[in-house]
Amino acid sequence: MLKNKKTIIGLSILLIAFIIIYWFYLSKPTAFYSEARLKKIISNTYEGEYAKEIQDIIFIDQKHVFVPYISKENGYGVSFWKWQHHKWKIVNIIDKAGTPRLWKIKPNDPSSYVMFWNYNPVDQVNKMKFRLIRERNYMMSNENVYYVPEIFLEKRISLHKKTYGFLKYPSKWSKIQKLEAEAGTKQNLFFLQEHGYPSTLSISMTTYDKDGKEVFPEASVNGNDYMVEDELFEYIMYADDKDFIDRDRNY
Amino acid sequence: MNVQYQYDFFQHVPSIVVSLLNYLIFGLIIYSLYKRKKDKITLWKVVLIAFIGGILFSINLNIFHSFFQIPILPIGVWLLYWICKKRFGKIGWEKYRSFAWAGFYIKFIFIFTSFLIYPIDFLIYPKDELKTFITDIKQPQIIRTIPKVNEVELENSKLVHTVNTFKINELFKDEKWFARTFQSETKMKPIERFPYILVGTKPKFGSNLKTIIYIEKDGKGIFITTKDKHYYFRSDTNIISPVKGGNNHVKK
Repeated sequence: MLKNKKTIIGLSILLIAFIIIYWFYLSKPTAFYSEARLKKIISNTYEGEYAKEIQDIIFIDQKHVFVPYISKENGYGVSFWKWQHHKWKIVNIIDKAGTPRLWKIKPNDPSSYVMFWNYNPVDQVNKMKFRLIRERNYMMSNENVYYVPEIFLEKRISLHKKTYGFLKYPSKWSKIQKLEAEAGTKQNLFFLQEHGYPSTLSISMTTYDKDGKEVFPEASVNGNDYMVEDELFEYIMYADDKDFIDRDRNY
Repeated sequence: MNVQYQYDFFQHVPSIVVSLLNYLIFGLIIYSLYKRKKDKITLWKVVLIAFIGGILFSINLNIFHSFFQIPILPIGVWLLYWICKKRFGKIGWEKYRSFAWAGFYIKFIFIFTSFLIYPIDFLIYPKDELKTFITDIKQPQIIRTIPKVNEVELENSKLVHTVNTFKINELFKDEKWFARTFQSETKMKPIERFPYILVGTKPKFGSNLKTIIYIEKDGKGIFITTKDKHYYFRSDTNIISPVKGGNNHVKK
C-alpha cells in the first residue's frame, strides 16, 4: 500500500511538472491583444506616455510582434511584444523611433535580427540606407603580421508611404556576422588603425526624402526607451553620406 | 585529465590523440603500482583515488603554441588525506597514499605530452597548403563585400583542380599596394584588395580551423584569416567568373 501511494505521488509530481513546463514554455500563443488593450498597456507601462493611435500590428514570427503607434504628443513610437511564459509581454517601448533599433530576437543567431523604425511625417523620410561596415586594418609586430580586409555593404529601402517599417537582416549580413563571431579578429590584438575605429562590424544608416536628398529626421530622433530587456536591443546610429565619400577610390 | 587547448576539444584530432595517450599513461602507471601492492584493495577504488588525487590547483600557461598546466597545490590529495584519516585512521590513509600522490604526479607527465599537440597538428594540418583550409566545397557561395567590384561566382571545378597550385605567399610583398593603402596621406586609397568572401567550404576533418576566406579581386589569390593569424595563397589560375548581368545580384 505504502509503495503504491509513493508511486501515485511521484507520478502526479511528474505530471504537474510536465504541465507547468508545457504551459510556460511550449504552448502555442493565444490571440494577440486588441488595439484598445494595446493602447492601455503602453500608456500604463511607460509613465507619461499616452498611445493615441495604433498604426499597425505586425507579426515578425509567431511569437514576436511589432506595434508602431502615435502618441498624444504626436510622437511616432514603436513597441515590441513577445510571447513568453504563456503571456504576451511588452519588451520595449520607444516614444520616438527615428533612430532605428536592432532587435536581436535570438542573440546568437544573426539571421533572426530585425531593424525597426517609425518617422514623424514632418521629417519627410521616404527612403533609407543601412550599412554594415568593417574598416580595413593591419597589424605588424616583430613576429606577427595581420591584415583585416574592408567590408562595406549597403541596403537601400523605400518606406512605401508608411511612416514605420522593419528590415530583416539580409542573409549576406547575417552570414558575415556569423563568420565574424566565429573567426573574427581577437579583440586584444593591437592594430594600427586606418581611421581610428576598432576592427569590428558596425551598422549605420541614413535617411532621404522622396527625391533622394539626404534629410536628417529632426522630429523623430532623441526618443526615450522604456526597456525591459535591453541587452536584446541596439541603436543604429545615423551617419551622413559624406562620411563615406572618401571611399571612392581608384587603383 | 583532459588536455585543454585553444581548440574545441572534440573537433581537434591532435588534442584527442594526446588525451587518449594521457589516459593510457595514467592506466599503465596506476595498474603497475596496483600490481606491486600486496594490500587487498579493489582496482576501481584505486583508480578513483588516483583520479581524485589529480584534482589540483595549477598555473595554466600558453606558450610555444601549446597550452599546459603546471601543478601547484595537490588539493585532491589533501581532500583524500582528510577523508581517509577521519574514516580509517592513519593506517587506512597509508594504503591509499601512494595512489593519491601518483594521480598528482602524473599531471607532470602531462606537461610533456601536451607539447606533442602542436607538432602533430603541424604534421597533419600543414598551414602552408590551401588543401588544409579548403577540403570540401559543397555549397560554395561568394559574398561581395564592397559595392565597387563586379558580382562574381566561384568556378567550382577550377578551384578543386588547382587547389595544389596555390602557394603560400607574403601578403605585404606587394609594396606598392602596401604603401598606397597604409602609408599614403591622400584620401584616394586603392579599393579593397580582397572584396569577396567565400562561404560554404570546409577545412580538413579534425583540424578545428575557424576561418574567414577572402578571394582577391583578380580571382588568383586566396586570403585566409583566423582569430590571430593570416595566410595568403597565390596561383596563376583565376577561380572566379563574373555573373551575367554585371552588377545585378543574379544568384542568391
